[in-house]
Amino acid sequence: MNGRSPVQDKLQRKWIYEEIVDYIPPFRWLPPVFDVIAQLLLVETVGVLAFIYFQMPVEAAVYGSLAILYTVVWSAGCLYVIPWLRRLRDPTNKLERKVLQDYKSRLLLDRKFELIGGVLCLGAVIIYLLYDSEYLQFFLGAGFGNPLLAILILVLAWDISYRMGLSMVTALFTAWRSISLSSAARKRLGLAYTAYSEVRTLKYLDMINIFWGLSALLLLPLAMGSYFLLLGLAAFLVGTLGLSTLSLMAMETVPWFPPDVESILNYERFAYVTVCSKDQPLVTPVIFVYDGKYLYFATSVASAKYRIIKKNNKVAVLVDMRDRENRMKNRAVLLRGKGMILGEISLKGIFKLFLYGLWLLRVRMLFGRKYPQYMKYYEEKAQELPPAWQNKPFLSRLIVRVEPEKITYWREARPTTLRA
Amino acid sequence: MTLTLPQRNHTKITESIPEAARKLLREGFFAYLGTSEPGCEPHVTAMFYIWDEHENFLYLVTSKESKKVSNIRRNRNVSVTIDVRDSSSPARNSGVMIRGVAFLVEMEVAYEYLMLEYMEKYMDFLGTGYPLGSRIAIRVTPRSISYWKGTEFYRWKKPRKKL
Repeated sequence: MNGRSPVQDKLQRKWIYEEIVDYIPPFRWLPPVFDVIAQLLLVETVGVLAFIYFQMPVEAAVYGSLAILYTVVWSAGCLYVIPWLRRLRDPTNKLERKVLQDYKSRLLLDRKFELIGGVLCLGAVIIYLLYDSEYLQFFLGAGFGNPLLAILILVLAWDISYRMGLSMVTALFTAWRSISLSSAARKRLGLAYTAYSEVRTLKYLDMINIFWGLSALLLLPLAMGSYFLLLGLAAFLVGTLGLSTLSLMAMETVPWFPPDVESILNYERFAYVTVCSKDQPLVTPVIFVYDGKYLYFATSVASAKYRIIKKNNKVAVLVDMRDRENRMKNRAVLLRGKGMILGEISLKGIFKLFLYGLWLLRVRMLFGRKYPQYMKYYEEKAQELPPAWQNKPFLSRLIVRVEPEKITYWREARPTTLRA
Repeated sequence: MTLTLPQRNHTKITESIPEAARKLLREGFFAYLGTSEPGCEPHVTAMFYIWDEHENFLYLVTSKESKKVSNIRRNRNVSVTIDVRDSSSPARNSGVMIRGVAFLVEMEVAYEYLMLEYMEKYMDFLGTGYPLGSRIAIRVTPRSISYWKGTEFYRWKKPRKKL
């Protein structure tokens, strides 16, 4: 089901930077972490030598170092992120698979897209420097006009442009991918979906993208000297950060489970919660709500569930559709994962309330909407009920949030294991 | 509103298995079997069952390769819940929870009349072509039985054998 994707099967093509790291001597001998440090030391040494030889102003050294630092930070990010992207497994939904494969092949296999941003950026910078040579003169001091130094500056300018251009292109493709993935995810049928671990990885990478974009702030002092460069940098920051945020928000709308599972979780009214203590399992029926990500059920402080979950938070929840007449209508979902108790009166519990309090209000609203008769009953009969049943939030009723890790789906007694 | 915790024990201890619980066990259709994997990781599935009125055993039938059978081979403690659910009022919910020890019984060895009863109970549901050959029966001997109806809780515990 999750075979190797064509991207992996083709001769693996890497970004120019990665190829340099793989093939050029000082780097090819070193592991990735040292690659970055070696790069920093090497470029910085050249920079310092140039600084001493040409007697440049101090600002040039400081700002230049910051620029070098930017290239290094970017490289570190690149060496960290790209392998993750290559390892991504394919969704079972055709449309989503296509979106992800297009994204990967555009980003990782097409050198045209890799270079276009850098070339445009470098072109703009060179034209600007030719037009406004005073800016360069200020930094270079006595060395202005020396061909060797010109080459050095050009290399540094290319290094930065390549990285900024690639960041921009990546951000653009990422936003495009997230939006199309989110719309493809809404057209899922049956059991087709993107495993949530993959969605989580993509979201995590988007988050890193934001920091990646922010690292361009290191170039700020260098750009302060000129209106044009400052404008360019600002445009870059707004562009990458905006696109990355957009992408992150689009990924947030991708549902966690395939539609068959979601429909059971949304429409079925009872769940069977199993907890385990001292190798003795315990099954109890509960009412529950599902908010698109987690499953919540209520329990009371007097219950065995509460005592056990506090000690062992592993929980299995079975939600099933049952019908005595029609065999085809019997389906079930088993979610297994960690349970978290919310609403406790304790130091930790109050801290959690602070974190999840608003969301708990939403969960309460969901309960009210799904079980109107139950909530009415709890309100009307409040006095007659045993204390453990009274629906007093925080005092006797607690909410347990289950984060699914493993999912099994049954249809007519035939199990299918899905990856969370 | 005072900050007192609700009393933990409002469960009534009974001498014998309550008649209502027996009735529920006879009439229920699906049982939920909870087993545990190594590391006390719980697992739960819906199953078919037969309640043996005379011996107080519960028989569940499943396929030999299923996860629960491999769990029971490692850890014999199980829990079975059979309940009547009503989505209009919690007061009408009732159920039985059995905690006990499971034994695996090959179908050939399982009592014939129980199997007949089993086929009779689920015949309409299973239809023809039910693969009896790859099935195995799980016999659950209750150690304790909890029964609830609305807000009332009862609990029966198997008396200890006198030596």
